[in-house]
Amino acid sequence: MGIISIGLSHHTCPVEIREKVAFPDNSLPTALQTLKAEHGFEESVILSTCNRVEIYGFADRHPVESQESIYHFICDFHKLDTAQKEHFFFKQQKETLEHLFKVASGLDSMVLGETEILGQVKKAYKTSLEGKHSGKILNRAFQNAFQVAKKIRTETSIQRGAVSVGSVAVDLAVKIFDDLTGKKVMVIGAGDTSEKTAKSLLSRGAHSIFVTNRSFDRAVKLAEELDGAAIHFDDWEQSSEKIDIIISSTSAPHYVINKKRLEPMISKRRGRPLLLIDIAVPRDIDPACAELEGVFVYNIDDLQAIADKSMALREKEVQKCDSIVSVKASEVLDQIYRGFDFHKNPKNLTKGLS
Amino acid sequence: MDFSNEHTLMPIATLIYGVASLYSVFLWRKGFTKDDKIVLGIISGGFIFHTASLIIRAAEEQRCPINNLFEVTMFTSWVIGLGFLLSVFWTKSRSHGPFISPVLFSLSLMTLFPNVDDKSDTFTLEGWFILHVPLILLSYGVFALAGVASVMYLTHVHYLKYDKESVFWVRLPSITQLERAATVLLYFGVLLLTIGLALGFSFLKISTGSFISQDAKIYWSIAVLAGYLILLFAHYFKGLRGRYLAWSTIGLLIFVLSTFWAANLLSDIHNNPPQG
Repeated sequence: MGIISIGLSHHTCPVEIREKVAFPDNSLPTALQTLKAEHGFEESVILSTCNRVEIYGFADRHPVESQESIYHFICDFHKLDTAQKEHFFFKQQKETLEHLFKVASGLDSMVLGETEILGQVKKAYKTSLEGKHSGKILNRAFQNAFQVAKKIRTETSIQRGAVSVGSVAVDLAVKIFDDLTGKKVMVIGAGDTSEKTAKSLLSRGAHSIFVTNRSFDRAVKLAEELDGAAIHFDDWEQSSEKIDIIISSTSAPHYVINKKRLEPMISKRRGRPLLLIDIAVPRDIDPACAELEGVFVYNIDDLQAIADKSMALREKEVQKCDSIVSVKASEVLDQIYRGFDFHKNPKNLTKGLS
Repeated sequence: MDFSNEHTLMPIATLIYGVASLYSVFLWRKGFTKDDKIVLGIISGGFIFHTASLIIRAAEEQRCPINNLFEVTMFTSWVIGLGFLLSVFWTKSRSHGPFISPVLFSLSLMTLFPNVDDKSDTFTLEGWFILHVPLILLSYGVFALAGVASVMYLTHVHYLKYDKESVFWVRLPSITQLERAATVLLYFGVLLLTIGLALGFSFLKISTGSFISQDAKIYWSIAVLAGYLILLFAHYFKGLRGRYLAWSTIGLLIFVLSTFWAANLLSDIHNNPPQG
């Protein structure tokens, strides 16, 4: 008896399996109701994201029995055969709480320390709460999970630094320009990474994206996606005077931007800084451009090195986070079950809890 | 130890600023990646003693303590300290503490030099002219802050250009913010210096019948004002920015700091002022 969890995640199985057991948002009320009515779960929360499907539950019976029941519920709900068990994890009591706290804090995420998962956990809890599927026990567990996530965010460096090329580029831009609002960005070469980087800059206030590419059609397509304007490849230099950030990712075998080409543009900028982000291999931007006043050049290795260093720093913090999680899980479990002797009086499990 | 004496309190303030400077060296060695609240705390401690010594001196002399080199240096460094604390309050950024502390320390150290406190020099101006000295001293304090912002700018640019792996963890304001701060401070300093000098020239006109007098400090002050005006002209009309602007600001500040005392000592009119 007690609090249990069952699920699968990017740690335990590939996306082909995860997508089969995912719960679309509109199916959650039905699924939660089925867990209550047909499987005897007084309390349950379903967390379904692209990286994980997890069910947290509380029922007045032996945890192993509860886990089996949820496993069969998942298979029935998604009409799966029951031979996929090796992909699932099963946790109970303190392990469940520790797992929930780690998930909410981003410690179990694909990108260590990411914060998006906290919003997803809150949403899953809210859905359960609105349908009255979360009671005294899961309320306490989830509310403490949010507190633990906050504590870990403020007391450790697990979320410090940027761990993707796009976010590193954005943070560097902030170090140069302070505020990206109104900054003009040019994308040279319509690649996937340049698109992501441009989107990251847009999300922080940059605007007026100009896209140029040898294939003008691809430039137009990306410009539409970024809500910007396409310009012909031969004309990009004419527009560069007013640009603050250039992201280059062409497949050209030579430098697209070199010092000699850049010099006349720089003299017209009256000292305004220019950030050049080179994510092409072979490189598009001559490193000698950095010798020019106000020009800052970063290539893919520079960005990746920063991202790797951030990740290494985050990994160093894991032990500290684990310790916070473990202490809090013991505390919460104690709070939940304080004063109850389950073996003698299992029927009174939820009475008098506060 | 007599804690009601400015000659006891000012050395304590200097010692504390010295500790802040030493800790700043540690922060510099760490690449400015550590939080600098300790420097803020130490400077604040020094500033309390500094303020106390200024108040005691003002109460003792019954006037604004800006007459001799001891008072002028104590007042100018106090303006810099106050400017630092106010900027921390306004901007919520304390990253300039490690850059300010060596300036505070070196200026405060000058107040400990022997024979610097010549109390026979008790001449005071009256009316609007009373603002002549404080405004000029304020302008030097502001120029010192502009110099500090420029050093921070150059430090950050160095990391951005040549230490790309470390720059991400450097806790300094953006280079745009630093350049803007230095420029605004330069304009403000020039404004204060212009008004301060104009009051001095007006006093000369009333007391001697001429706006100018053949005096080392007057020529020096005109040279300083001209230097800053040329700098701002080059910035505004010729697009002088970035590292060139920062180095020019620092160069001018070094000139002011290194020649200030000599100009004062060589000045006849400031040591034996004309009666108005």
